[in-house]
Amino acid sequence: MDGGSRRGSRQGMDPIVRRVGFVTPGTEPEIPLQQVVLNGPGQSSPAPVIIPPRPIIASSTLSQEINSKTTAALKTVTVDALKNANIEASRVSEDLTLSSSFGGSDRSGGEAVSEVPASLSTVTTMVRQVSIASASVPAGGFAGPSVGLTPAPIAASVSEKAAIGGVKEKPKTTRAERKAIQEAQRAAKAAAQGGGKAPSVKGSVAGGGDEKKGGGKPAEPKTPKATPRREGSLAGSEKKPPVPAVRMQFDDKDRVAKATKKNIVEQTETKNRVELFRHLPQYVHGSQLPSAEAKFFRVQEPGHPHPAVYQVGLRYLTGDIVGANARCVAMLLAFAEMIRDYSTPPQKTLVRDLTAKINSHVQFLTTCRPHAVSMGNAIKLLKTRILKLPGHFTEAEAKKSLIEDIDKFIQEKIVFADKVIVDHAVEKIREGDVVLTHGHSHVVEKILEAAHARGKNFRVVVVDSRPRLEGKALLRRLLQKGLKCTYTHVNGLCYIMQEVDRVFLGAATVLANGVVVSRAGSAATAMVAHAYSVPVLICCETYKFHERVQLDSICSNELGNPEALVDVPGRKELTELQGWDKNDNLQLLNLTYDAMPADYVAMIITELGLIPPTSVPVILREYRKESNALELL
Amino acid sequence: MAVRWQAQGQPAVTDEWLSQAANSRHPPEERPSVRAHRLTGDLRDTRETANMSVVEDFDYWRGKPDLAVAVAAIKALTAVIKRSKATTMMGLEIELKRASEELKEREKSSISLAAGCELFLRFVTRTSALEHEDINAGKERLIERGEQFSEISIKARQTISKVGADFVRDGCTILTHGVSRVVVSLLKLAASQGKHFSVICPEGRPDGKGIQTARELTAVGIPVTLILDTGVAYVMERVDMVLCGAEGVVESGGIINNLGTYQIAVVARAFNKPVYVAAESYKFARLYPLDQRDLPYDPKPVTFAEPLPPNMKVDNPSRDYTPPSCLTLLFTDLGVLTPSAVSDELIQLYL
Amino acid sequence: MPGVASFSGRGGHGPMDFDAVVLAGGLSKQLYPLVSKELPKALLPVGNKPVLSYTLEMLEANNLTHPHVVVAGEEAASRVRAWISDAFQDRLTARVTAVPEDSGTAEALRAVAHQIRAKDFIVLSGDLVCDVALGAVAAAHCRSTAAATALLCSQPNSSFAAESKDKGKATTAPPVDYIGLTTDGSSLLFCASAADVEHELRIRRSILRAAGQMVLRTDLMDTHLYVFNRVVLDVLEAQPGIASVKRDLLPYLVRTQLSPLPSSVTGPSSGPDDAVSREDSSGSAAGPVASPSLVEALSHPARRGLAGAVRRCGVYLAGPDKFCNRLNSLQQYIEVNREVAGDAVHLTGFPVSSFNNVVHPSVEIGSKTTVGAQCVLGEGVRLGDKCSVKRSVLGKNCRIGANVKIINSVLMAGCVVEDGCHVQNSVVSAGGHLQERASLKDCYVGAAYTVGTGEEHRGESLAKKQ
Repeated sequence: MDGGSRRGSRQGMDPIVRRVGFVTPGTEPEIPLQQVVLNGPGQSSPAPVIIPPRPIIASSTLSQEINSKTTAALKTVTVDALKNANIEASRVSEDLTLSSSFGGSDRSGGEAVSEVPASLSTVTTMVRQVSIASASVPAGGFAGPSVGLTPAPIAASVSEKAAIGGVKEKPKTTRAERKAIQEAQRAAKAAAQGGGKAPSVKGSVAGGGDEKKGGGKPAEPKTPKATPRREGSLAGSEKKPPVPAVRMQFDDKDRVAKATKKNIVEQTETKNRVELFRHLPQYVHGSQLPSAEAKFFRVQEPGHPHPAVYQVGLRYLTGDIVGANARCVAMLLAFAEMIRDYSTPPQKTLVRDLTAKINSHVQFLTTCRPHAVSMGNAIKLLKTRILKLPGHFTEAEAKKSLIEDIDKFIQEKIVFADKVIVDHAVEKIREGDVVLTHGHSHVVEKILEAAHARGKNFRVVVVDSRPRLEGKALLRRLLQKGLKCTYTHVNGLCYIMQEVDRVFLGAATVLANGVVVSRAGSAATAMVAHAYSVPVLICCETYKFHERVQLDSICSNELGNPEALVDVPGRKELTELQGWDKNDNLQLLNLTYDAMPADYVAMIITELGLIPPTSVPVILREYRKESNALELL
Repeated sequence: MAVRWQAQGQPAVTDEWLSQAANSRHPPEERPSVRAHRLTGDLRDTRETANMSVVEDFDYWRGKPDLAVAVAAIKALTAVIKRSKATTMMGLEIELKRASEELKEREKSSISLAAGCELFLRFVTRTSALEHEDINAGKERLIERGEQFSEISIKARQTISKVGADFVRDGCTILTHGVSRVVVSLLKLAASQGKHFSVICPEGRPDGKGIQTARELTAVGIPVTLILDTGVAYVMERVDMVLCGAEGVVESGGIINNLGTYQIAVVARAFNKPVYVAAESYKFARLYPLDQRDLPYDPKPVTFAEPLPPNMKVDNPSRDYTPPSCLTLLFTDLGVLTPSAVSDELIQLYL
Repeated sequence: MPGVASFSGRGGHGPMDFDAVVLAGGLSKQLYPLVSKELPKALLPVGNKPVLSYTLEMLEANNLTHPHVVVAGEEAASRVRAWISDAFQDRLTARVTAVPEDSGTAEALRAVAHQIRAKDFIVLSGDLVCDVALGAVAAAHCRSTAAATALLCSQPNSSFAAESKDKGKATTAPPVDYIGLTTDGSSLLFCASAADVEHELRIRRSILRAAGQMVLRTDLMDTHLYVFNRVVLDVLEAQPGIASVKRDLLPYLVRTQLSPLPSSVTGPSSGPDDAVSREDSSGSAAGPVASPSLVEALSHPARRGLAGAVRRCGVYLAGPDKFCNRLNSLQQYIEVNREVAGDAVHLTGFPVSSFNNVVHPSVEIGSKTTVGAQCVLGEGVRLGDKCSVKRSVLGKNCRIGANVKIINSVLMAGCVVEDGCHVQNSVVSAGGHLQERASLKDCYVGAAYTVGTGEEHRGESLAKKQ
């Protein structure tokens, strides 16, 4: 249609220049913000690689680009200007970062510029906040992603309509749009009471709401009308699958400052960090534990978590509890304690209040140690259960039911699932096999012990990696049970793989595209195994599956303590790395997880049976059907 | 979520299956009179089965040339139901279980036989779960199911031929392997649609199965070239696609077929030629082999040109496993599936 | 965020489920002549505050507002009770229990055993002055679900001992504790105090085998601050022969870490029992079947400390910058006073002047009088001219004449020191009277004692004849 003209008018579609890699902080020149705005919405200051969430389109902004003279006025666009904006929106651009629309539609113009280089998820999350603060959670969906999804075709179809009508440069808004703007304003006003960032977000909601016309809370009744006009990109009235929660990106200082304001554990960011991983949090490990311990008895303070949760958090902090299963179980048991001691304050409903409490506790645990995916799934389930409590339940009944649910979850999804996995997996160990494993997964340990108990004759190779050296504990326990073991480090992997028949690995999570995220070093093991045509079997309970898709190990990971790399236990003379933090040219990186592609994985052993990695989405679908999750932040 | 503990080897029972069964059923009015003497093609079900054992039954049906092993087994089991004097559904189940064990003993290494038996037993279990108080009514229902089953399996072949024949283009060269009724019927259908193509058959030592295929295809006028097994790589450059049947389709999407399939598939992958497999859906088994050694070992005797010294070892398994990475598509009566879709079907069924 | 009020409280021992027991001793013979019937050891002033106040303030700061105080001797108990209710009126609710004099610390613990409801309890000595974060010790205890956790700190420097060496008086060396730890310093493998050791140390082989390596240290001091689990109370009951917490109970627990106790005593990590025994208002005491031991099984239990310990004995090592000391002997009394006046002055809570000393605003200082650093001068002290006060603590309303030198000494409330006196390294109890030109060195003067004119005493204990 008008694709040609639209594409040409969009100056901002030059490739986004990003500087990635190991950059010494402090030496890169800051791109003046002014430039960024003028160059168009496509560019941003050198930001690390982040995978953009689904775009939230403000087509009005795009339309302004058509008029070159309004480009410079991005800063000062007000909602009134939006009303007069060119409705004939240009074709939806997938690359349009939210920052531009955000900046473009900010009412308080001067702030717009400062918001532009904000990271994408920042704004997405803030929009979410607005939608939640306005306390009307739509059933069967939520405003966040639908904000992103629906405007796309609608804007386009609107433009079609306008184009058909031959309307160009039409400032007049239709009745629907005016209503949408009003709704957006109302919502933003409610948000202003709910969150500190509301004024700046108001604009975006208004701007977004203006164009949504069918998506998002304010215009929910418009949805049926908009449906027939939708393009094929959204299949009719199909319920959109819930999008995984956007993780907080830690390179945005404002967000981080706000989030850490209420922290119980004091966290100071380390200096001298690797640029590529700036979006992940890293704190000085030495200061966290003492500050947490010192607050041990100050439970009377508001905002202090329940003692059981506090103790679990402490144990996370010190590294006493590691492993996805252990952390999940510890957390759930602590929550069970918390629920048992809970009593609804007056004037509040159990559901809302308990959910808020759980959120705050989860927040605390996250500050102690970032979440594992398994924990996230468990929390999601718990919150779903709370929401689904029948209204007629008394508080005692509700608590009892929740505690039973937690217990059932642990029993079914972890304890029993492990037993079934072990039963399945021991079939895969044959007589005379050589089995290799990396790190210490407790499921794999159980499998090996069970196979040995059944009298199978086989040998185990334990591959270990610094700095955690978790394989040693596994080795000790296997030796105690009497298995024949070989122990090596990752540098001996290629050598030992020639003798190996099977590789068993545990997983922290398995993602929807079959990618398996596990302890750092597992991906290398799987790759070498694949090169030697040794089948790699992943042993993982289904509650660890996640619908996220990840292509690399960078965008989502956990940064461990870089100090751990400095010392080699038992070799006190190796001191080259001492004082690394004073050296600007040296950064230490200690990653916790890595992601192995689905091609390397031969099969995944779950409690539902043996499945190929391509069938993970099917399991997720079944899960979703069963749990019927409503996702809340 | 209830966890179902499945022994390996149980096949899939899909809803499409059942709906196909419903479609293939004769019109309801006919049912009472036709049931006992329903004609299924050229097969008559009128044998006196009063005092036969299940194994003899099975052998009889097995003898019919056009009948798959699994179908023969089902028919034998159906006959068991007819003869059964059990008074409860539970008792009937036990009898059937025993009979299927006997059949499995009879042909120990046939995967499709095991699959078919398990499938039928699954049918039975599902039916008995429907709470028929009257044992006779239940038996009637089961016999009906059994008959449908055998119809479906024949129907399946036709469905597969229909979907698969579209992949045969005019002027293409097809490489087959072994003998598979499905493949033959597929090619026959394609030929009858007026397409001109040629087929290359490796001879398939020591059974000579390839020769059998060649004979059948030549009989309908398809030009066939016979080659040695060792000549597969030689001809692969002028082949457009590889087509073979399967004895069983495993969970990963790979297939178990007679020896040589893996070899051909690997060569085809090296040449980037598509490998298509034609298999009925009752062959989907809940096995998950990781390599060749994971299969049940079933060696067949082979004779060589000259007598061998006594201490020379001979290894001649009858089957091999082709992993899904070598396969392109599967033609089944559920449609054309990618290898990864097999697991999806199985999961959907068992969850 | 919702406040703690929404949690159902668990009585007075705070939501963290800890109790506190303060063993305030009684009339300690070692501190004679400073202690007397009127002044039990717990109320001995350190830095012009009764030593018990430090402990209680520490507990108060950590929200342990219902400690159990055990005092030996009825009279001492009543005095302590009176003082506590006076000084800590609303801030603390201490329950003072009297035990017969001369009972050991374990006996004292048994006396309050029935009052302890919480899962864990802290036992500390009333004469302990330390600034270690109690929360840290408790956290270490909880983390490893230990049966006992002891706070250890490095031996305080004893400069006094060095000084007094060349004065000829035979001083008792500070008691040495033999402490055996695991290499990572988390678990206690062996402990004995020098008084109990004659020629040899006997170490259990099973413990050594389980641990693999042990580091034996003599530079650590057992501060007599312990965190115990309930199970220790059962141990106390089962073993009536245990008399002293430090010398009998702790070594016993350390020795028997690996072996399960007979009869129904179970380890601290029995999850379901704890859950069931908790009475909550919901009425259903259905605890989860998955117990905390599941967490242990899922994680790596052998990482911390002793593998297979049924009742772990943990250890918290205070950092080198922390101050910990007890009033075990007369020398230590002076030492503690000096430390509290000096480095640990923050413990007293008094404002420190710019000269690094604490001088009450009502103090009158004569001309040409110097008050050195690290001094504490209480209310109403009057100093004459040309005096010199160095590193000393002067109690309330002391009247010091002219030309007096007070060095390294403690003068309790109401002392009168006339002109020309010389007090060094000495303690003068309340109401003491030093007449002119009296000279005291390394002396301990009892309450209301008068030192005659011109008397010189070296290294003596002077007390009024009763």
